[in-house]
Amino acid sequence: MLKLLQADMLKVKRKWLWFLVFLGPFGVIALQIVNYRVRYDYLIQQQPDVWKGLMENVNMFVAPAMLLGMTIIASQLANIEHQQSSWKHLLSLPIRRRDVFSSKFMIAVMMLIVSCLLLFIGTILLGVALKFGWDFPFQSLLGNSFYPLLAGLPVLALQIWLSITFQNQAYPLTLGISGAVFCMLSYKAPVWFIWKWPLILGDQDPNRFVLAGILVGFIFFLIGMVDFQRRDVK
Amino acid sequence: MKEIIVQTTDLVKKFKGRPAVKSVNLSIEKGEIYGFLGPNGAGKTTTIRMLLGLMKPDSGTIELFGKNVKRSHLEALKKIGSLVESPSYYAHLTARENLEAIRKLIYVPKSRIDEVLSIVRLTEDADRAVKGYSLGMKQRLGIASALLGNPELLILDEPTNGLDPSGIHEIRDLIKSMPQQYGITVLISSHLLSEIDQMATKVGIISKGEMIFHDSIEALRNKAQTQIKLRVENAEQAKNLLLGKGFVLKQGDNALHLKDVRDHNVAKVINLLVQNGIGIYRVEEQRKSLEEIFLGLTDEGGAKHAKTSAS
Ligand SMILES: Nc1ncnc2c1ncn2[C@@H]1O[C@H](COP(=O)(O)OP(=O)(O)O)[C@@H](O)[C@H]1O
Ligand SMILES: [Mg+2]
Repeated sequence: MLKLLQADMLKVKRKWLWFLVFLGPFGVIALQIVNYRVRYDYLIQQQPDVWKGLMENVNMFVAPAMLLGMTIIASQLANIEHQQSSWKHLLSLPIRRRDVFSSKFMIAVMMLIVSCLLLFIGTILLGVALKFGWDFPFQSLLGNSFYPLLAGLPVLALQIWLSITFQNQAYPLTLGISGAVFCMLSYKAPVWFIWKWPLILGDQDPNRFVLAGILVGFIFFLIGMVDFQRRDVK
Repeated sequence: MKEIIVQTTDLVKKFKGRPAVKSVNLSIEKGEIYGFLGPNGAGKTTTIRMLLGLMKPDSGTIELFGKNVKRSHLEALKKIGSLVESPSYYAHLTARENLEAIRKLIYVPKSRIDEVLSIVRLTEDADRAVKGYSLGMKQRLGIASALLGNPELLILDEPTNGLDPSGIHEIRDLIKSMPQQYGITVLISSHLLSEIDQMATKVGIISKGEMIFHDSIEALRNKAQTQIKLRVENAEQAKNLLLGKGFVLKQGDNALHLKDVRDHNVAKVINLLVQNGIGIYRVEEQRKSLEEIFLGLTDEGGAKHAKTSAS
């Protein structure tokens, strides 16, 4: 398993995936800089707890960005193998198919963890720059930064599965991008609509969605893995 | 008896109900270069994918290195190197990085990369991105990755496809040296008999998913029907005379073609012609080329198939 991860890390070399990992959090923070510059007074007035207000604003942007990031990373990781029909060679090596699938999933999770960490640091720096002081709520900020990833695991598992299954990346990309767009409009969507889970909505307990995300994400991951094991390789 | 490396029994694979491989029985002994021949679409790649565990057969069994691989291919795959259809590679990586990405997954020392690079003569270009490679170089890289794990069985699916004659020659020499130099058994597929002819020790011919021939290349040559071609002064008269005496022959290309080539039969025919005052210009033995035999065999297979599907 470890050797597969190493091989997969080697394969993403010179792809712009790592750039994307940095671009995501950077973009979100940049948008917040603009947001606070334009309507600082209004935003402070809306939520007197300044750090809480910042987190809410960040989350609104992070949720769709995270879904988009998951979609693109999953597609790129799968496409490395699709491009020169490398699946057939990879899968005729003496390795387990389930490990091949798991490795792709884990590489994606690792990249997104880096994004979340950068977001965490970025949010703090932004808050400090906005003169919110250094006594920030460490735990809530950490939670806020990683929440969309955890609650979004079902989407990631789904995207990995579809990206690997379909040679034509238009299908998974269409689904993933639609999901990211609808996520922003999904306040009233039913609870099973997994694309809204990364959003923190006022009246719901985020912890429940973290738990649900991990659980459902794991189930989707298993389904994808079993399907991948059975499928004929072209 | 020699160890059998590959043995398939009544292998069947269907795509959406249409059989692509019907009851294929392969048997490859250690140290052989097995030429797997058949026209495009005959089912070669599908068979090879099943051997590699990339596709599951609908029925039939596969034994590799004497073990049934129905439950797990893992052990067998450790001893197999393969190149299926077009070579797989990561275009944005160099040849060395490509091999390293594979090496990490199999247990061989790093020095093996330099060895295989030199076997396929890519050492000088090893640190260039593969996207800048010619087709022949990509194909050679494909062979290098197949050799990386020190395989006991090398499976090459149309490895010379798209190569120019010198590239074909190069790969042929490389493959020919495998059994002697490294003790490797080779399964190589092709749709051209001429490619296999000069290196294979055994041939299997597949047509429309069915094995129609499975023997040594000499046995295939012996299938060549020889004829005696006679060019004579008056073909029409000669033909009527010989047919009247019960000889089997055909007229064509301004000549007569005699089916029975045994010496005494030929002697009788010539004697008869001389006695009847018909001038004889040429007596030639004609042997079909291997390519003609191959085409004949695959055509027969086609005709048989057409008949069964029509009924
Ligand atoms: N993945 C697939 N789905 C449907 N049909 C296929 C697939 N792969 C091969 N076939 C069909 O199976 C037959 C055999 O193909 P193949 O094994 O690739 O032949 P060959 O390698 O001898 O040229 C062809 O008729 C081909 O169209
Ligand atoms: Mg083929």
